[in-house]
Amino acid sequence: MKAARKEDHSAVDENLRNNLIEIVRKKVFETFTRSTRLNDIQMVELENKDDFVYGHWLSFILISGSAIKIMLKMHFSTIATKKVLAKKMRKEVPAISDRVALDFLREQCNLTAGGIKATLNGQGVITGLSIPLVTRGFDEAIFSDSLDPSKIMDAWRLEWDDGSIVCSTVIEILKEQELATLKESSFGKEEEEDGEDLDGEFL
Amino acid sequence: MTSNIRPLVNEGQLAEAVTADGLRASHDVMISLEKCKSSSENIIDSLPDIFAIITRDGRILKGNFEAAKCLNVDFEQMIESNITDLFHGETKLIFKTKIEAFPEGAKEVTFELPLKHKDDRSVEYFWTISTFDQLSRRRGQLFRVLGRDISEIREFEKKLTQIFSAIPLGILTVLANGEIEWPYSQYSEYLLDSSVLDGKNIEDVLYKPVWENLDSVEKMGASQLVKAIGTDPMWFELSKLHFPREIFKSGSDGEEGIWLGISYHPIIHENVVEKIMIIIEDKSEVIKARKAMEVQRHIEDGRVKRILEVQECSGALLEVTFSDFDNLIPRLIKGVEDRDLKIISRALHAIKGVARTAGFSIMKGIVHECEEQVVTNLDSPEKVDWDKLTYDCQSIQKESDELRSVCFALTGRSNSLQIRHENFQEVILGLHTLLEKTSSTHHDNVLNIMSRLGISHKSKPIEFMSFNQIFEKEAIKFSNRLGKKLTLEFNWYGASAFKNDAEKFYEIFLQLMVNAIEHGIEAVKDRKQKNKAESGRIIFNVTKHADGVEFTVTDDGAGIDTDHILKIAKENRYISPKKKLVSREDVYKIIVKPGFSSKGDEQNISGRGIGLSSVNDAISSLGGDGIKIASQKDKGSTFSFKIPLKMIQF
Repeated sequence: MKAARKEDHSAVDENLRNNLIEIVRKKVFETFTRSTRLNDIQMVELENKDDFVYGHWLSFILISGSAIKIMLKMHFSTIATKKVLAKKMRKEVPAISDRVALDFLREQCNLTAGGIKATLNGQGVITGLSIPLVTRGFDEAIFSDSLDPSKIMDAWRLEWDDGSIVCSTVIEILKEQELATLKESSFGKEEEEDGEDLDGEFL
Repeated sequence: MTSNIRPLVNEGQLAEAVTADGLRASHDVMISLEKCKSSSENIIDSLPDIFAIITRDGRILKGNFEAAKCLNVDFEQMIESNITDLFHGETKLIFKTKIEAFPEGAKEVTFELPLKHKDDRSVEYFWTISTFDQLSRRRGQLFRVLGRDISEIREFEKKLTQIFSAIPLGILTVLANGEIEWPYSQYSEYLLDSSVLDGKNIEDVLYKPVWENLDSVEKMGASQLVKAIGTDPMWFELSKLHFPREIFKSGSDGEEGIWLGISYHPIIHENVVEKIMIIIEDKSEVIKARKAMEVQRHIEDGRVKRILEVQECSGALLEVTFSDFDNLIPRLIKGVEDRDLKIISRALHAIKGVARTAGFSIMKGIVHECEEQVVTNLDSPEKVDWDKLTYDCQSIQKESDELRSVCFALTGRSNSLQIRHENFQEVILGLHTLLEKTSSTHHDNVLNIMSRLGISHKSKPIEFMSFNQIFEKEAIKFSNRLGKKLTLEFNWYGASAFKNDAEKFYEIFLQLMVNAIEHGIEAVKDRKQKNKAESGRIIFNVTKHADGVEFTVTDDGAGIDTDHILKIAKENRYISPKKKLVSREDVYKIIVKPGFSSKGDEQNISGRGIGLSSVNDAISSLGGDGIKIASQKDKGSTFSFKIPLKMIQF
C-alpha cells in the first residue's frame, strides 16, 4: 500500500481548518454531555494551548484515513471523572473505582471518535479508528514536543460546576482535495444530529 | 482443505477482512504496550525516593507518591504544585537557586538540603538534579529531581563520629599513595600530634618523628608500608612482619613520652590490598609494666643464679671469698675516692680473680666491665667517667652484699625472720606423717602446704651411709698427697636426714675428715716411730641420746698441739701475747674462731685455716650446740657435736 504523501498545509484553507476544529469540538461536547448527563457544561478557551501537561491522565484515540488523521486527546483527573460518574449513577464518589473512571474517559474517546468518523464518512471521507488508550498526562509533553506548523492543533476545556477536563486535538491533512465538502462555510450549520443515543454505550 | 475455507463474495470483502485482522493484531499489541507502560509508571510511582520532572521554574510535570507525600498534596494534583513547595524559608531559596542557576552544559548537580516533614521534623535529604534530555528545549529545559532521605545514614554517621571521637584509639586508613584518608578517629590526632591528618603522608606523621628510635628492621618495615598497598594479601602479611609494632614517641616540653602500639589491617578488594587500616593505641602503661617485669625477672634470674652459685661453693670457699671481698672492696672504694686508677685496677683484678674462683658469674661480669673501663684509661685518667666508675664500684659492693645475703639465707645465718631450723624440721616430719595417714580429701591440702614451704612430698631422708663412698675416695686423694695412710670407719646406725640438712652434715663430716687427715693423722714414718699402725683411723660415730643425737669424728693421730696453737694465736693477736695461763678448752675455742689458721700456707687442703669455724656455724644452723673438742697428745682427737633428736631419722 502506498503511503499518502504528506503535504505542506501551513496555509490550510481557513474554512476547512475552522470546520474541522468545529467538528471535533462539537462531537466532544455532544458526546460528553450525553454521556455525563451534565447540563451546565461550558466550553472554555485555554490560555496556553502549547503546554507540557494538562492533566494527570490522558486518554487518546486516532481517527485515520488516506486524506486526514485526527488525534483526539482528553486530559483529566480521576477525581473529576469520579464526581461526574457518581452524580450520573447516583452513588458516592468513593464508590467509583479508579478503573471505572479511567475506562469512562477511554470510552469517551472511543465514542467521540466514532461520532467524528461518522461525520467524515457522511462527507465521503473514509477513516478508521485506533483503539482508545489511557496513559499518563506527562506523555502530552512528548506528544507535543515538536511543533509542526502543517498540523492543525487545538486545545480547549470543558467545565462544569465541580470539575473540568481538557481536550486537545492534532489534525493532519494528507489530501486536501478529498476534503472539498468540508471547506464549505455552511458545513457546520447544516450538519444534523446523527440521532445515535450514546448514553447506554459505556455503562 | 479447501472445503473449510468459506468462499468470499468478492475481492473487496477479502481486503476488508485482511485489514480487520491486521487492525486487531495492532490493537492487541497496543493493549500489551499500554500494560507495560502502566507497569513502568507504577515502578516510578513507588520509588522510595522523591522523584519529579520539573521545569526550570520548579513546576512539577510528573512526580511519584513519595513526592506527593512530602508535598502533602493529592497524587493527581501534584502537577499543579511546585517542587520548591517542599521547602520553607532559606532552604526554599537555596533549592530554587540550585535549579535556576543550573550550570549550562552540566549534566547533574548534587547537594544536601533538609526537608521539613508534616510533623515539623527536619530530615536530611540528598538531592540529585539532572537535565531531562528526552525532550527538546522548545519550551525550556526540564530537570529530573531525585531526593533521598539520608537521615538514617546521617544518624549512623553521627553515632559513628561520636564513637570515633570517644574511642581512645587512633584508627585511620591509608591510601595507595600513602595519604591518610578521612574519616579517622579523633584520637589519632592526639596520638600523632597533628591537628589535621587528612591527606598527610603516613610515613611523615607516624614514623618520621620516631625514626631515630626505630631499629634497622623497623626502619625497613616502615619504608615498605606504602609499597605493600596494592600487593596481594599474602605478600602484605609477609611485609607486615617488619612493620614497627611498638614505637616510643618522645614527649615535647619536658612531657613524658608515650609508647604507641601499632597494628596493621589490610582492606582487601578483589584479592588486592586496596588500603591499610592502622590502629594505634597508647600502650605506655602496658609496656612500662612489661619492662618492669622484665627487670624484675632479670633480678629474679640473678637471684636464682646467685643461689645456685653459692650452693656450688663449699662453706670454706665462701668464707675465704667473703673475707677477700671484705679486704678488697674497701680498697676499691678508697681507690675511687682517691681517684687512683692503679689501686682501682689492682683491686678490680683481685676481686675478679676471687669471683672467678668462687664461680660468681654476675660479680665477675660487673667487675670485668668495670676493669676494662679502667684499664683502657689507665694512662689518661682525665678521660675516666668518674661518676660512672663510682656507680659501677658501688654496684660491685652491692653485688657482694647480695651474695653475702644469699649465703646467709642458705646457711641459716640470716638476720631476717625464719622458722627455727629444728621447728621447720619438725613441721616437715609432721607433714610427711600427715601425708601418709590423711584421707584423700585432705591429701591435696597437705601437698599444697608442702609445696608452699618448698618441700617436695617425694623427698625422702638421705642416709648418711651414702656419704661413705665419697668420703673414702676423698680420703685416699688427700692422704696420698700427704704421704699418709688411713682407714675410715663408719658407725651411722641407719641415721639419715632430709636433703638440705644432709648436705650440711656432709660438709661438716668432710671438713672434719679433711682436718683430721691434714692435722691429725701422722705420716707413715712418723707413725712407725711412735709404734703406731701405718694406717691411721678415722671413725665416724652416731649415738642416740634422750636429748639429742651425738656425732663424733675421732682420729688416732697426733692430737692437737696446744702450744703451737697458742703461739700462732698470740702472733695473730687472737689472744694477748702477754697472757700466760691458757686452758686447753680456751685453746680449742681459738681453733674454731673465724679466720684462725694453724698454718699460713695457702696450699693447705682443709681450707685456708677457717674450716672449723664454718663447721661450727653449720652445726649451729642445724640447731646444734657447737663443736666440742677432746684431744690427747699422740693418742688422737675427737670432734663431737649434738643435734636435736628431731633432726635425725633412724
